Amino acid sequence: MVGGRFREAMADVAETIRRVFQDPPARTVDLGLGGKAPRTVTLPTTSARTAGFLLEPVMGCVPMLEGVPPISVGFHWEASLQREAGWARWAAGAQVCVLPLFPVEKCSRLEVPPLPRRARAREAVPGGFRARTLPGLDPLSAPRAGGAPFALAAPDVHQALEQAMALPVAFVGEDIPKLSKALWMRYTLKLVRETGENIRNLEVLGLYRIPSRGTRQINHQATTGRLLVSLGPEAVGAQRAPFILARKKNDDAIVCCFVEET
Amino acid sequence: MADNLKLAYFVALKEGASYLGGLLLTDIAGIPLDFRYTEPITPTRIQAVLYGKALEPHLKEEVIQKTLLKELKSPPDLFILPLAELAGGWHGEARCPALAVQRSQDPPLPRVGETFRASPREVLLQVADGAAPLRVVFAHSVDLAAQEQALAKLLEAAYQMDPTEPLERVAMALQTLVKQG
Repeated sequence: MVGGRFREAMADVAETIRRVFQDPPARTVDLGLGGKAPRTVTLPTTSARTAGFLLEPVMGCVPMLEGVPPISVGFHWEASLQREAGWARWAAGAQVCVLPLFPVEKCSRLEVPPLPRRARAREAVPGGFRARTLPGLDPLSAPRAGGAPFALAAPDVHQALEQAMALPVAFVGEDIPKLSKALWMRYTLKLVRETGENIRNLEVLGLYRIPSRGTRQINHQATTGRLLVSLGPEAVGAQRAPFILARKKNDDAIVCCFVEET
Repeated sequence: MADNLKLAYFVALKEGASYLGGLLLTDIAGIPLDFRYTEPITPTRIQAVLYGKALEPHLKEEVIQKTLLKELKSPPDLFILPLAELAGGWHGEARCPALAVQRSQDPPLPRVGETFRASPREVLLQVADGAAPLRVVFAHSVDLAAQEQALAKLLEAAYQMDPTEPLERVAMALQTLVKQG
């Protein structure tokens, strides 16, 4: 049973292949040019003549298609010699040149001088070389040097002692413990007399030697202990005198005086 | 002799493109005896190019300082200037020793007047008991003998004044003059 079905299937396949590959329809294509046969056009015979040559065209006709007018046609010309008269003219005008013969008596024998056996040395001493300047060149002229004012001139000086005197002068306090006791007692006594204060109420801030004249203003620098004194012009050259600066303990008022007569 | 000591304090300032200097002559107490200042000098551009880095030292020492010293009738005993000028290679003149004075931070020396030589040109000088010593730097032209003489004069002055203070006055005076135009 299985074999029967297999045979039927094989028969169907064979039929299918046969139908697919049966002969296809074929058509005949006419490859001709549609009856346009070439024609031959006869051209008029041409010729040209030169002095000695005759020129004739090799091809007298060209194939053309029907209906196409001839526009230009190329010809290949070949030349052939017909006759030549030049040789006859040349032969008629030719002349024969006769060369003169050399006379015998004018020939003579030349004697070759012998070479010297040794070269002669020059006895003259050649002079030294001398250079000569060419006069045609002009010397280069020296350029002009420009002097730039680069030197620093001394400036003008002005005197301004008043300006310097207006600035306070710092005076350093003297070392009081180094003073003799007698001198210190004399100074304190003078301070008490001048200020009218009890010595126990006074705290001495410093002893300074400042100009006895020209003192304008006094400032005490507590941090450095220096006394800054503004001076007038009369202070220049003035004698310096001991000056005590003190503070009252009860009201912190500042008192001061010169402790020596000048 | 000490009372006749004359101290010259020299300061040169640069204000913009101009340089000016002032010289304050004081007595031993710092009281002004003379003060002179120069007109501002403004170097031209070609001068600035030709002098280069030497312009400022040359202006300060050769032009301003010498011009001001010529104005003095007699040379000062000490020529004191800021330390920065000496560091720039100040040569100074032999007739007045040039030096810089500065308050130091060093511990005090045992006695007033004692010195400690830190280098051939630098000396610490004790001017007051218990205070820090002064640092004194001399110019190249001051030899050892001249240094000793200058230290003695400086010590005399320091008994009565602060030797560093007048420099501040000169600078202030110059600033005032510049502002006044």
